[in-house]
Amino acid sequence: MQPLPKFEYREPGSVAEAARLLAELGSRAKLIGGGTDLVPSMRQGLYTPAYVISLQRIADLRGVAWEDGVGLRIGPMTTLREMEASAEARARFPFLAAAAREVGSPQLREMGTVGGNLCLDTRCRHFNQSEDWQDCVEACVKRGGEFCKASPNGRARKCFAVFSADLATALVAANARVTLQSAGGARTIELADYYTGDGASPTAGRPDEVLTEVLVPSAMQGVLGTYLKYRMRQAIDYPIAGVALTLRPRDGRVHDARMVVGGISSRPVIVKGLGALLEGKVLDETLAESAAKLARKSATPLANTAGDRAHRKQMVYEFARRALAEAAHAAAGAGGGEAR
Amino acid sequence: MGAYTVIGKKTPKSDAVAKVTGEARYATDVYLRGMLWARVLRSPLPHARIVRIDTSKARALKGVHAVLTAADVPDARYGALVLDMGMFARGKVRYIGEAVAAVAAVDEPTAARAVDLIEVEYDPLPAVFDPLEALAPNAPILHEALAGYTTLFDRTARAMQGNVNYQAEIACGDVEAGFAASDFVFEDTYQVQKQHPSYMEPNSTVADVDAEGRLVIYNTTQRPHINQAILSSLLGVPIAKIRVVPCHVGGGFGGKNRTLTEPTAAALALKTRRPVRLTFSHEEEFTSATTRHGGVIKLKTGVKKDGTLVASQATLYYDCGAYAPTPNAVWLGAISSTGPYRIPNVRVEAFSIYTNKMMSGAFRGYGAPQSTFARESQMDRIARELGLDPFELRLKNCLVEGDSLHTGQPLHSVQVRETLLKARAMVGWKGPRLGPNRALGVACGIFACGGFATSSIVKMNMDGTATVATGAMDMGQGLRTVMRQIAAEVLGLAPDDVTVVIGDTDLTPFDVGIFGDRGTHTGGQAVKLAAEDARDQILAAAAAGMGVPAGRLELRERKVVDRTAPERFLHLRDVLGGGQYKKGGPIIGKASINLTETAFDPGIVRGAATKMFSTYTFATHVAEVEVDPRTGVTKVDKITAVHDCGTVINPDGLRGQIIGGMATGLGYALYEDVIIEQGQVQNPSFLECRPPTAVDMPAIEFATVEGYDAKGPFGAKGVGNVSVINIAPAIANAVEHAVGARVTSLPVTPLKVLQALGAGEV
Amino acid sequence: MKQVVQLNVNDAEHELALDPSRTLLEVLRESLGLTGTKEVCLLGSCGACTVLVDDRPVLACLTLASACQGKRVLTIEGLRQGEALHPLQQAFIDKGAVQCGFCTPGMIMAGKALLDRNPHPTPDEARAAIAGNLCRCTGYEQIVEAIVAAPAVDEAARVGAREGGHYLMPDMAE
Repeated sequence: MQPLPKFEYREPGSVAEAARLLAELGSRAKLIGGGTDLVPSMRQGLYTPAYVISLQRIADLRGVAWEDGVGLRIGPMTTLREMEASAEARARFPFLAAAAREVGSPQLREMGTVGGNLCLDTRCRHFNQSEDWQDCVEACVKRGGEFCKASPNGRARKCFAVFSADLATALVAANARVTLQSAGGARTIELADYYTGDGASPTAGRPDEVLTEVLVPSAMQGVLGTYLKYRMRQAIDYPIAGVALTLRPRDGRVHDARMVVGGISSRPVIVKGLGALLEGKVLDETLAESAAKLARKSATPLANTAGDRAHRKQMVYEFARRALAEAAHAAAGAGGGEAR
Repeated sequence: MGAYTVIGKKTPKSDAVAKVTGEARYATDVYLRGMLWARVLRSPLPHARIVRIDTSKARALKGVHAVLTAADVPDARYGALVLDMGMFARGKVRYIGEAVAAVAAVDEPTAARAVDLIEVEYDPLPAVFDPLEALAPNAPILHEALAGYTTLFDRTARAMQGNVNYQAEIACGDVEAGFAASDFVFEDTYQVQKQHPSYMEPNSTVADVDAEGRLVIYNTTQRPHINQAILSSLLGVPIAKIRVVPCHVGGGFGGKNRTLTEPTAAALALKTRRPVRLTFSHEEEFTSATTRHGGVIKLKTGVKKDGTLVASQATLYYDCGAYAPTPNAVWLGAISSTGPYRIPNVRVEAFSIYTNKMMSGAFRGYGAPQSTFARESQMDRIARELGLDPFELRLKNCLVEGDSLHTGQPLHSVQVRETLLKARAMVGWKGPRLGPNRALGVACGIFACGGFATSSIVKMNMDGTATVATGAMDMGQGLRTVMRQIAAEVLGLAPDDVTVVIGDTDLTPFDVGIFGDRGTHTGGQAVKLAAEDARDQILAAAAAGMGVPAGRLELRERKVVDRTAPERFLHLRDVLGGGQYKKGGPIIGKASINLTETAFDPGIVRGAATKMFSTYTFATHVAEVEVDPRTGVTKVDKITAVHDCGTVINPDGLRGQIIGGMATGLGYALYEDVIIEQGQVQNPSFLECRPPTAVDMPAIEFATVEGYDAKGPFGAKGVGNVSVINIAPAIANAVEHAVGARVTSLPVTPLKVLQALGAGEV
Repeated sequence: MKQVVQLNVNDAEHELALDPSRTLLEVLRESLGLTGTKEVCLLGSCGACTVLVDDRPVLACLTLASACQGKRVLTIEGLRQGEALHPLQQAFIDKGAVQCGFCTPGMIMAGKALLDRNPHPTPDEARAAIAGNLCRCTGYEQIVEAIVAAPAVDEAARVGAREGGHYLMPDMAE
């Protein structure tokens, strides 16, 4: 079989060692978790790093644990299967375990990691093709060309490849934070801010940083959450649209609602104005309809995947409506406050 | 029908142990000492003149042993009906992915680098991608020399011109008078997509030159003997100097009724005198292999108020891509275009049309899923508009024993009515609607079964066992086991007593290839006749020894038994081991048959691609769906399948093959599409072409109806094709009953359902 | 630069000098001659190269061989114990779950991973476990039946009988 482009391989035993390596190698290196995203990309010649640095031997980066007053701490090397099976995740934020289960296939979840899902490269039908395929066309902006072919008129100089990570979309809705560590120190940012919206460079992580922790803050305890995925086949496929919703029901009313849409834009899109629209109100069908329309408005799918753009936009509306209906139903059942 | 010992009994696949242990050897598992790796340079343009090819840099690269272009191989072409394709593009390229040059090198990376070093200068030409646009008078012409190409069908009836590489016409009765006599005339246009066969194993060949200078080909194919003939004509090597040794085939479905990797690997092996391996990459499977034909079907049907079909006019435009490896698909489509119905006045015009796209070829259903989608969709429209029950309309018009098809072919073994009745009972039919957004949809199918030339040898061994040799390939559907059962039944043996040698052209007699439901039916019949030949010789030999007339003897339980006095018997091993040295010599049975011998009446059929098929198979499928009117998503909950397959030989094999066909039909109906823009395949992978997964499958209910085909072995017919062809219309029909959305193009995507519902933005 | 990697494959220890860019699939097929694990899409979307690494079902085409240093790899060739087939292999034969066989090794390894964790799966659990393994021949039905039936095959093997109706000649005992 055609081998992968050559690279050197490193397996640091600690985060500090990984950070040291990255400080030295910078953008010549790529981090690898489970390999389910990076290896196919290398196979297609999308990336040819001189070094591949695996985080698999760093025990600290694995595991899901609850810490009172802090929250749900998820090691980024936790596999998606471990995430979906985690008793802590299932007890406290079942929608996160469910979102992990929506990814790919059993083998991809066995290999793929939570961190890998957060750092999933954006995808585009013009970008995720082999070198032979690319030889037939002009390079797109993400491959070093001038224009984004998925952009309106194909003339934008910015990349509009699509972000299609299921769990990441749900974690943004869960107000997750991520910690990034470099040789120079650590910083913690909102996961929502980790995404740049630039398809060519989708995360704000620097080349010398390692993602070391994902935290769902303890303040999120008791939220209701849901993640709905629209796709053609019931396995393997990336989302055509993914809708995550969190809210806190109290006294039959909605508080702190947050909706995030994946599979549509170059980042997980937080639906603007939805929290304010729903705050303190009873979530009836009319309100849900208005909120779903907001979601639709926030979604501007481009020609980055196969599938009709108007239909994808409409599906955001439809799945947003469903997520809200599900939440309303769960809120009624929960009697206000219990985690679903 | 007799009481059989082996036929119809549970018999595990003879190659199952090798396959569950990973020991079965496929072409991609062949690694020979000193083997070189080949890679092909492919056209990046859909249509262009080749101005110049410079291979000097590639040749100079260390580790490169050979570089070939059209200039290095004989100017020979091949094809099924129209010989239009050479090993490499010559003079011009006609699709993105066409082979321009090939390299053999010490390893794959070197071969890849060498390919990159080949310089080709192209002069782009206008291209055409739509089959109907390709028919326009000013359309770019793909094959200027088409009229001069060798053809293997009667082209005098229909001159080939423009981009039409094959054309057939069927006319029975008076279709205009039929329409005039009809109470209603329905006219619809249907569109179908390209679907990839998605066999798991890629095309692959290892070609070697042996000590005697013969070419030895290890490959994955449905037609070893035809491969041999094509290699001979393309390379200018005598057939006797070529041995094709097929490995286990990792799925074919018609897609391996091709010769894709063999000529290039063979030419490179001849050039280098080293073994050469050429394996298609996953992407090459989606750019440079073949798909089901996409196209357009126009269907006009006249009907009486009571639902009696009176006249039908069908026009089939099948998009065959840049070459026509099997334009016969449109001929099969024409045959299936009436459905399994009695229509007195029929006219069919069928066109196979070149476009600057990847090739279309054979794939399970072979031309019929397209026309069946049109026919069965329109049948439901007729039922609805006439206020008739969909089952009743079909039952009223279905073919029965003794009817003739619109081609003039008399039909035998016709159980379509029985499949309809049984399916109706199985689903507890009370009309199509089951509840809000839930409904049943029914569709019938007819497909040609069996025919063409095959042969078999049955060699009796000294211990009483038998060795069967057949050129009819097992492509994974289980033909080895079926052959074993057939020979065992005739010879009074257990299946394990029969060894089947399959495919190797040095060891097996000729077979034309496995397609058109002819493996079990026609290949199996040759094995049966050869086994009977051996049996008769055994009985004659034993009769002399036992002093009993041969007519009183029979073979059972490894013995020759006197039917009138079963205590009198000889062990087969004694007849064949000791016995055969005494007189008459060793026993070999043989059979050569051609089950396609009757030509069509030229007054009815013009431009027939074949003679009459041996028989026809029939099936009724009922899909139970739930459609979400807000998303347009169709969920198929259950498919009920009733098949008329004659005598069942291997029940597990039959069931597996039929359910597999249904899965392919499901993918065709809902998910799969090879999307081509400006000649370039946009989704060249399983990930994006989406064959169904295990969790996409509906519940399956499956039954057969009793039947017997006089020409098939023990009355058996095939099932490979008919299991696919009427799934899509059954689902499309159910979708309409569920939510009122009629989708007339495949696949039935959520978007199309919503559009049919007229649902705009909320 | 090549690295020395110790791999335990099917209980046999191997020490290999490998380029780090080699995948487990390449090493199994091309260095160790274990061609039972199949190469199909190389993109992780077909499941044909499924093997078990430390009992977990993974895709060998996406796994770097160097990353398997010190781990236990089980391939289809390692499933059989001497002459005796693994119950799941026997169930695949008995249920007619094998057609062309190209997906079969990956299917069986995915099925085994399920059975190791859940010895008595329901048909839906079996279906979910092979959702990442494509098969074009069977429509999956008999594969699901085989996975569900495997525990019974195992049981039957233990009591010395074998399930499934293999054809026997009436006089086979002679």
